[in-house]
Amino acid sequence: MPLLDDVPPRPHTAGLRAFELILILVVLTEYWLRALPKWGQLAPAYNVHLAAASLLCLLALRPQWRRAALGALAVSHAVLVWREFPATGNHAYLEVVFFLLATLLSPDDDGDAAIYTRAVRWLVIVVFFWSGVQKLVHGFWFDGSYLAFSLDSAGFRPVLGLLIPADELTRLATYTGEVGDGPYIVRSFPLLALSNGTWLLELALAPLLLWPKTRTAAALIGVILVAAIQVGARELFFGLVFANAILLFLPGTTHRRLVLPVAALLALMIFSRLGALPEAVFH
Amino acid sequence: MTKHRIVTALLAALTAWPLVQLALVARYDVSPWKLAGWGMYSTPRFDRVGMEVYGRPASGGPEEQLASPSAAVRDEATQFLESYRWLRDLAPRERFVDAILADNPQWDQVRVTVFRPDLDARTGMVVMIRAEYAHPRR
Repeated sequence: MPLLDDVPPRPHTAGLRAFELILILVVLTEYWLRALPKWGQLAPAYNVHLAAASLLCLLALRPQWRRAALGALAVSHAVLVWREFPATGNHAYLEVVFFLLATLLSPDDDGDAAIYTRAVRWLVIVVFFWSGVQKLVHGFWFDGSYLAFSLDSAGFRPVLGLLIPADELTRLATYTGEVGDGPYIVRSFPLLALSNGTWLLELALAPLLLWPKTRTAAALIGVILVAAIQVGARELFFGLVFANAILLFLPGTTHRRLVLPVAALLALMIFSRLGALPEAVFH
Repeated sequence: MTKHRIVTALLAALTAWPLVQLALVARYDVSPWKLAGWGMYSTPRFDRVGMEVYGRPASGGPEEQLASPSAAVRDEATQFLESYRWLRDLAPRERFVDAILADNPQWDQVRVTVFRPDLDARTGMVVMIRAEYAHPRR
């Protein structure tokens, strides 16, 4: 674990505080965005979770209540994860683990802060590594068939469409994912390069994030990779939770300076869901 | 020191868990997308799942298809399919089967056939995957 420390050492408190603040804002927004379009149709139990999470997120922002509120939030969120299992999104597991770490460790204590930072960084490496392994094991990224299949997704289509020759694009556009459709196999070199480059990059990011000399560049590439996948898939919450963790690799005040832009993005998502801004589809 | 040990144990478990998840995917056809194995986007995702239910009459004769399930069976079917969507062979079926057998006392066995589309990694074609589960009356 000391491999994950900064060389030379630097204080972690400000970065961890920014990490916690963004995490709390993201989770609070997530709870409310799930509720907003469905008032009146929500299960009573979800209303309880929503009320508890809202109160606990606000309390967690106050230093004297921080640890107790984050601990209660970890329990409340874990119960929601359990209730919704197995449909639970993977980011929810990360959120529970991050809340547990925040409960156990204080950003203001030097020893705790070092362990806290190492733990979040290690989890980033674990997620990138296994994400690359999964793409490798299941085989849909070797022949580009996953990306070819994703042409059906409105989020991926504009970019992926540029990488495929017109005749292949025409053929793939006739498929609708029905039984008998295919083959979703492409010969386009740019698409195959992107497909294989993605899992290779995920695997490569694990050691590159460990090595201090490549850490900052790897973290920036990681954020860009996550943003590209998540924006295409419109799975913004996994992207926000995970990118927030990646930012803990960056030196200086970058993390702290991103709190306001993230808060602004979350506000835009809420206004969009409320109808005050043009509708944007995200999960 | 205790905190350090707790965090180390937690991280070790989370680091190794995806191996278990991969084993569950291979053995029980669990969706790679779920269960914190970090396999989102590793396989195409189809949300459609269909099902047929057949019962074997205790008095003998050919199987009968369940054509008009009661509201209680429909509720259990919905819950089973939601779970099946991700857990496949590991999706709990007992409550669903018990509800069917309670509604159909003349049957001594229930056979559930679940089908879903999937992309064949070898051919790149969309194919229909079928799974069958037979449950004798307990």
